[in-house]
Parts: sequence; structure tokens; C-alpha cells
Amino acid sequence: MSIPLPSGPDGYIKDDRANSEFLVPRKAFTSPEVLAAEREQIFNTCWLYAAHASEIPKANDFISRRVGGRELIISRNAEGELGAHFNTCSHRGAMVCREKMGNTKRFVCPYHGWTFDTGGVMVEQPADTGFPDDFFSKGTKNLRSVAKVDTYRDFVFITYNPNAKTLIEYLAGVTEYIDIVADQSAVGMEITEGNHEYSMRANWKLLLENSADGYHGLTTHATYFDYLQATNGAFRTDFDPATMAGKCVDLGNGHAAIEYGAPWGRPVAQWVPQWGEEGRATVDELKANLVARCGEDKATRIAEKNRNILIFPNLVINDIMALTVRTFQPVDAGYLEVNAWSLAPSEEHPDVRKFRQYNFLEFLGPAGFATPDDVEMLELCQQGYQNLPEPMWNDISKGMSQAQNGVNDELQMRAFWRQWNKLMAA
Amino acid sequence: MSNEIEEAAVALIVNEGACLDQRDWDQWISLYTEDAEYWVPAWDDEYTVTDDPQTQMSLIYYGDRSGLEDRIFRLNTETSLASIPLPRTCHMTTNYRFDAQPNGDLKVHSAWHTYSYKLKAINQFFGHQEHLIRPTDDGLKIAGRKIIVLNDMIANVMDVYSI
Repeated sequence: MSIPLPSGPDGYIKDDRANSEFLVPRKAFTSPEVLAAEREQIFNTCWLYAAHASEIPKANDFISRRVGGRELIISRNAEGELGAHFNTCSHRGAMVCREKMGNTKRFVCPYHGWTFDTGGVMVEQPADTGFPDDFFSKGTKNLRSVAKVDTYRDFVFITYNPNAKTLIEYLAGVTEYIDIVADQSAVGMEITEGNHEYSMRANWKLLLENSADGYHGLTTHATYFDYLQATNGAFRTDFDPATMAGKCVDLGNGHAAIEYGAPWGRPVAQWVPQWGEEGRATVDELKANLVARCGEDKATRIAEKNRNILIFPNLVINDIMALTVRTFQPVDAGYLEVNAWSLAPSEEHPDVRKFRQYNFLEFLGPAGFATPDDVEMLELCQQGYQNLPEPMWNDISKGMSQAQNGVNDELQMRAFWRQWNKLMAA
Repeated sequence: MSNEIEEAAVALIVNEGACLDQRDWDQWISLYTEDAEYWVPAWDDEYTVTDDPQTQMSLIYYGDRSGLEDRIFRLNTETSLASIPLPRTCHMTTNYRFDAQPNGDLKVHSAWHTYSYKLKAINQFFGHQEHLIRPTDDGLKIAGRKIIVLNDMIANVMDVYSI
């Protein structure tokens, strides 16, 4: 596929390690041809987040949603086995499922009534003549399944690529960070009911970059920090600001994370005065259980650190004042749609769950105190790219000259773009 | 008597929209009692919104008025990028139905539609809502508001002025 981007010795990016300069072409955010190539070379080849297992716990549970720009049904069959099928009838192509989620034994195509079970098997159709006896028994009229489905710690991924390496190989170093999220429960994490859906007039890569960008925090989110500082008891009293510098790590295959001290309450096991003495007893007990389960060091890391985790290409898990799972789909080069959920230990104490959900809403989501400011910034970037072709490049060099990167550096974005470049240049 | 309170309740709800349209935040806040609950549930599936803000997701939830005061604090800083410039808004409310409560409160169900215009872009939200209207020594106040946003693929931002 021809990609209308300037190509140099480093491919479509400029990765100048000698001069510690890293440049990304702005046209990669605006060009429909680039998006078409991304669909082929990234979304059709990588593993993509599809669902959390807690959303479909029982046999015949299903959800339907867009994954990498394609409409899927992710379901458990009558035996409870997980599967993912294209949401399109094998007869004439109509979507056979129009509900977001539910439990059913059958998907009946509304057009001519071809009927499939939750494993995608074609089980009946209303006509009694016109087909040979064995026409439907060969399996060729079943719903087409995606190439592979696999799960890591209850995060369900799919790939459209039959030659994809295994999920565990694909996830590479980010498994350590997914483990830290999954280990926050003794019995299993769950997506809490309800979700946020929002859209922005921005390229999908802008949201990926922004989701683990510590550098923008104090400017873009100034009002949020002002608000927290003005709120009694929102910060831990013994917080050491030096821990905010944190670290930024490249986890391989385009995945990356930042990790840093959390000044605010973390429902997993970090209390703040705002939650009161009663809340303190509950949270202290959570911490003690966490230490017993994971050991002191890991428990402290889980409790006291924030993590913004980027999983290539379009999954973000932000383990901050609440835990959000966020995935997003490019609709066109300048427009994306986001789906975001709150993830929590399924055995969570109701008081702590309340702190979690309040924290989530305060910062996150289209009506929160932070996300709308991010959205505005990303839209401003997209508008700024209207000035192409002269200002051609975005700069994400920060930290490139340093051996170690912190949360305010841009290694996480370079990790993403190097992988993007590798797949696009392939 | 009941007609009088119903008329006054409608006037209060219309006035709420006008305060938001005029960006008179202090006047808007003063329409609420201190213990007023303000809740915009999230959608759970096609036909159902979440019903427990403490364990499930919402779009906005405050157990009392202090949360709304925080929002005004934020707007007044004039540094929240999402609210610069503030959109021009137009609140419309109609189809009132009244449900007298045993304690003397009046629950008012209505339909609402708010247009917002900012930087050449039109956004709109619409839906149903319930106001809990309470007679106080200081006149009628809003003691609770639950807002169902029917179009929940939210473009850009949703804030108290846009619903």
C-alpha cells in the first residue's frame, strides 16, 4: 500500500539518536491513506483488546462492539467457551446482533432469519426448500470467527492475523504491569456496570500519546490540581513529591508505561484524610491483605504508585485514582470514538467502591475534571495540523538524551512510534 | 394551592436553565439546597441506565451541593481548556408532570433539550429529568435533580451548563 509520507533512512519517522531528536510526521494524523494503511498493517495484524472476561461471565453471554474498526460479537457458547465472530450474517451480510450486551441462545439475522448459536454455528433458517440436504451441515455458513482469541489475566484480546505470534509473546514486558492490575483482587477484577462513550475530532494516535503523557499534567490539568489542593484531605499528608518524578519504561512491541508516586487516594489500598477514620480502617485492612498476598514491596508498589499503561495499539489501562480501561477506534483520520470502563476488585467493600467511582468521575470521563481538557487539547492539535504542509513534524525528543526517563519524558511515545514505524514500513 | 406550587416549580426549573444560559453560576447554585443530590447516570445497556452511583458508573454524581460548588470553582478559574471559550447555550424544558411527595416535596418530571455552540460547532444533549422541588423558608429550592442524557456518545465535553 502506498503511504503518502516522506520516507527517510529511519522510515517514516526521524529517530536521530546521535542528536537526541525524535520527529513524527504530522501528516500521519491527517491522511486518510495513512489510516487505511494502519487498518491493514496495524489493526489487522496486532492483538487488539476486545473485552474483559467479567463482562461475559456465563455461558451464552455476549457483547457486540467495534474492535479495530470491525464489528464483532464476543461471546461464550453454550459450554461457556469464549469466542469472537464477525457480526455479519453469512447469507447477505446484515449484522445479526444489534444489542450491546446480553444473554441469548440464538442470534437471529433480522433480514431472512438465518439463526446462529452463541458459538457462531448456523443452526436453522426458515425456508424448507431450495438448499441441498447437506448445505448447512458443512460449517461453511457459520458466522466467521476472528483468527485468534486469547486471554491474559481476564483481558480478552483478538487478532485478525492468522500468523500472529502468541498473545503472551505479543504482550512482552507489559505483562508485568497487567499483573499489577490483575493482582489488585484476590478473586478477580471486574468491569463495573455502565461505561463512558465519547468522541473527539482528533486522530486516534493523539489519544494514545496523551494517555501516558506526564508532561502535560501541570499545564493542561492545572485546574484539577488547583481543585485538589483546595480540597481538604484529598492528598496524603506524608506524600513525598520527589516520588512524582517516577519512571517511564519501554516494554517492547510498542507497549510502554509510566509509574510514579500517587498523592491522592487509591481505592486499592492508599487512604487519604478525605475518606475519614472509618474509611481508614477499611483501607488499612485492604493493605494488610495485599501485603499478605503479594509481599510488602509489591503491595506498596501496588498501593502507592500510579501507572499509565499503553498497550499497542489502542488499549490504555490507567491505574491512577481509579482504574480505567480505555480503548478507542479511529472512525476517520480526524475523528475517534472512545469506550471507557471502571475496573475494580469484584470483592470490593462497598465503601471503597464508592470512593473509587467518585474518584473516577471526578477526574475521568467526558464530564470529569480532566478528560474534557485533554479532549480539547487533542482537538487543538488536530486543528493545528491544518497548517500542513509547512510545519511538518511533531517533536517528541524529551528525555532522549537521558539514560533513564521519568514521567515527564517522552520515551513512552517513542516506543509507540518506533513500533508504528516498523509495522507501517514493513 | 397545588397549582400554585406547580407553577412556581416550573418557574424555578425554567429559571435554572436561564441562569446556566447567562452563566450566572452563583445564582444557579443558590437554587439548590445544600443537601441536593445531582446525578447523571451512565447507560448500562440499550434501554437501561445505571441505578446505583456508589457501585456503578455514572456520568456525573454528587451526593450534595458541594460537588456543584467545585464545578463552579473550576469554571471560575477560567483556566479549564474545555470551558474556554464557554459555549453559548440554550436550555429548553417542557412536558412537565407532577408527582407530590408525602413530605411536601414535589417531584417534577420533564423533557429537556440543550443546544451548545462553540467555535463554529453545534452540540446538543437531550433527555428526561426529575427535579425534586422543596418548599423552604427561603422559597422553593431544588433538593435533587436526576438527568437522563439520551444521546450518550458524548462529543468533546459534557458539563453542568450543557445539560
